[in-house]
Amino acid sequence: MTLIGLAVTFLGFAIAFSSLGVTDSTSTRMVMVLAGIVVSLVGIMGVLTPAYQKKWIYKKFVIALALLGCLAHAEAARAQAPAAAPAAAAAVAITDADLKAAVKPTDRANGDPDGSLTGTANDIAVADPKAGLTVADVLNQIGANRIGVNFAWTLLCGFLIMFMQAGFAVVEAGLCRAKNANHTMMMNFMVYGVGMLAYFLIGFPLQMGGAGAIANLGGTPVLNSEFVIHLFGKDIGLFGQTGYLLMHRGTYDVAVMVIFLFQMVFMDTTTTIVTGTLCERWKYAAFMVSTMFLGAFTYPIFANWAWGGGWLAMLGANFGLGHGYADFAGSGVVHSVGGVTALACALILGPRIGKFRKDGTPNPIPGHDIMWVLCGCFILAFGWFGFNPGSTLAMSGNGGLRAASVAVNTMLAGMTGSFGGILYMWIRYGKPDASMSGNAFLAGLVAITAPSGFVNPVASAVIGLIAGVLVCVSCEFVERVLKIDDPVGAISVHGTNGIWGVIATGLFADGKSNYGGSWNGVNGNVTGLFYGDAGQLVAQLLGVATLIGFVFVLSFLFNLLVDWFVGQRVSAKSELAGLDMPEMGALAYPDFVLKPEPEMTA
Amino acid sequence: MGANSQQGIALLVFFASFTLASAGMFYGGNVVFLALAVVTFLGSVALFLKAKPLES
Repeated sequence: MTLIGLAVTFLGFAIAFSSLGVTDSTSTRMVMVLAGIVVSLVGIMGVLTPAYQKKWIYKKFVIALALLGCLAHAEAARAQAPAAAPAAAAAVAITDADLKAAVKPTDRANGDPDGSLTGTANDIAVADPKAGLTVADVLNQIGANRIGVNFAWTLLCGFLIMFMQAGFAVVEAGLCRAKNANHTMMMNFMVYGVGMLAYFLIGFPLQMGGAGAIANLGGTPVLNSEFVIHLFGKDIGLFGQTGYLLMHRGTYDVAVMVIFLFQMVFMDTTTTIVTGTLCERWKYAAFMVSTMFLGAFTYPIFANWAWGGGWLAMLGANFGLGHGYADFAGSGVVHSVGGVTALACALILGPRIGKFRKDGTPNPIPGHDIMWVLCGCFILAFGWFGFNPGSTLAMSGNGGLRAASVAVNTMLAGMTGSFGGILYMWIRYGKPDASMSGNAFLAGLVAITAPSGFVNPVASAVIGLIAGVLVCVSCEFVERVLKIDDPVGAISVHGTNGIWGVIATGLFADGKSNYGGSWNGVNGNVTGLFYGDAGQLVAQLLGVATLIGFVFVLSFLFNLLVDWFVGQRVSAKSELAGLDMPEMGALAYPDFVLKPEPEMTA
Repeated sequence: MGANSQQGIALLVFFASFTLASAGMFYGGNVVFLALAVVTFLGSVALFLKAKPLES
C-alpha cells in the first residue's frame, strides 16, 4: 500500500509537469496542475495506514478540484497589463576638477566632532599615487561601495538567520516533555553542523553550481554549470555542477562565499523543521544520517529548481508562465520542503507511545516549558528580519531598497497571524491557547516568506491572518483526521503554510516590486492572479505540485532507506524512559523529579 | 540501551563517504575517490546494521 501510495503521489507530479508539454493554454495547464496536486494528495493518503483513510476526504478533493478549475478558466482570460518602462537618467560626466574641491587631510587637525570631514574623497583608494585621484578611482570606489553595502547587508542577514537555530531549539525543547529536553536540544544543536557539512560537501554545488551571475553581489560568473535535459523543446535545468568544497573551478571567490553563507543558513532552517515533528522518538544516529540526506540532496535539488536557475525558475522564460516560480525568501523552498519532509518522516516513525487512545482519539501531551516556546517565537521573528529582507541580496541598486517594504510586510503578517490563531482558539475552545498563538505567529511569518517581496502591506496582513487560522485548522486535521503525531505542529506551521505562501504569491503579487527590471529572466514585475496574470498562479501551483509529488516521495524514499539500515525509531523502553539518558547519557534537568505518566504507559 | 560506540564509528564512516564523494567531484569525477565513497558508504550501512542489536 505504501509503495502504491508513493507511486500515485509521484504520478500527480508527473501530471502537473506534463502540462508544460501538452498545451500552451494557461487555463488548461492550471486544471492539469491542480489535478496533479489532487492526485498527489490522494497518493499521500494512500501512504497513511488504511484505517485512517476517510472517504469524505476524497469527496472534498473532487469538489475542490471542480471549484478551482472554474476559477482558473474565469481568471485566465484576464490580460496582464504591460509594465511601464522606467525613465532613463541623464548621463553626467565627472571631471578631475570636481574632485580637487574635496576636503583636505589637514582640515582634520582639530578633529571632526560633527563628522562632516570624515568619509570624503580623501578616503577613496588611489591606484597610482603619482597621478593622484582620477575618475577611474572614483568610479571603482562607487562600485566597491555598492557591492560592499550589499555584502554587508547579506552577511548580516545571514548571521540573523543563523540565530534562528536558537529559536527553533527552545521552541521545540519547550514543547517536548522534560525527560526528552536534552535530546531535543542536541538535535537542534547538531542539525546546524550536520546540515552545514552536507551542504558544504554536496548540497551547495547541486543547488547553486549553475545559478549564473548574481549582479547584486558583484557577479558570480564561476557558478556557470547547470546540468540540463532537453524536454518539450526547452532546456530543463536539474542541478548545478560546480562549487565542490568551495574551491572547485574558481569558486574560491568572495561573492561565492557570501551566497554560500546566506544559502547555507536557509538550508539549515529546513533541516531543523524536521526535528520538531520527530522529537521524543527519533533515534539520534538516524537523525544525523537523515539530516545528511536532506542537506545534501533533497533540499538542494528543489532549491536549484527554484533559485539556482532550474526548471521551475525558468517556467516564465521557457513556457510563458508569469515570471516563473517566484518564491522570494522560501515559503516553498525552505519551509514546505522541511514540512513535507517532516510529514514523510512522521509517517515512517508513527506516533509517540500514548499519543492516540485505542479508539483513535488523540491524547494531549503538553510541553514542559511554555515560556521557552514563546521566547523562541520571538527569537525566530527577530531572525526573520534576516530571512525575508535579506533575500533582496542588496541594499544598493536593483530595487534593494524594497527591503524596507519586505521587512514591514514580514512584521504585519506575523502580527495578523498571531491574531488569527489566538482568536480562533479563544472562540473555538474558550481560551487563548499559548502554544497555538506562538505557532500562528510563526505561520504568518512562514506564509509571508514567499510573497514578502512582491505584495503590499494590506495583502501581507490578509495573508498572515489566513495563515493564523489555517495553522490551527491544519493542526486539528493532522492530529484528528490523519492521526499523525506532530508534537510541535511543524507540518502545519511550515508545510501547510509554506504552500499557502507559495499560492498567495500567485494571487496577491501586485506588480509594484522592481528588482532590476526583471525576475527569473522575464522583463517586468511579478504579478499575481488578482492583478491580472493567471500564468503566475500556474507557475506557483506547479511549485506546489513539485513539493507534494516529488519532494515528498524523495524524502520518503531516503528516510525509508535510513529506517532500513539505521532504524529511525528508538525502542519502546527508551521512549518511555525519556530519550535523555538512553540516547544522550545525561538528563537536561538532573535535579528535577520527573513526573510518572501512568496513562501513557498503560 | 540506546546510543552506543558502534553507531559513532558508523557515523564517522558515513561522513567519510560524503567527503570522498565531494572530493571525487572536485577532481572532475575522479573514479578512485567515487569508488572509495561507494565502498565507505556501504561500509557504514554494514556498521549501522551491526549496531542495531546493541541498542536494546
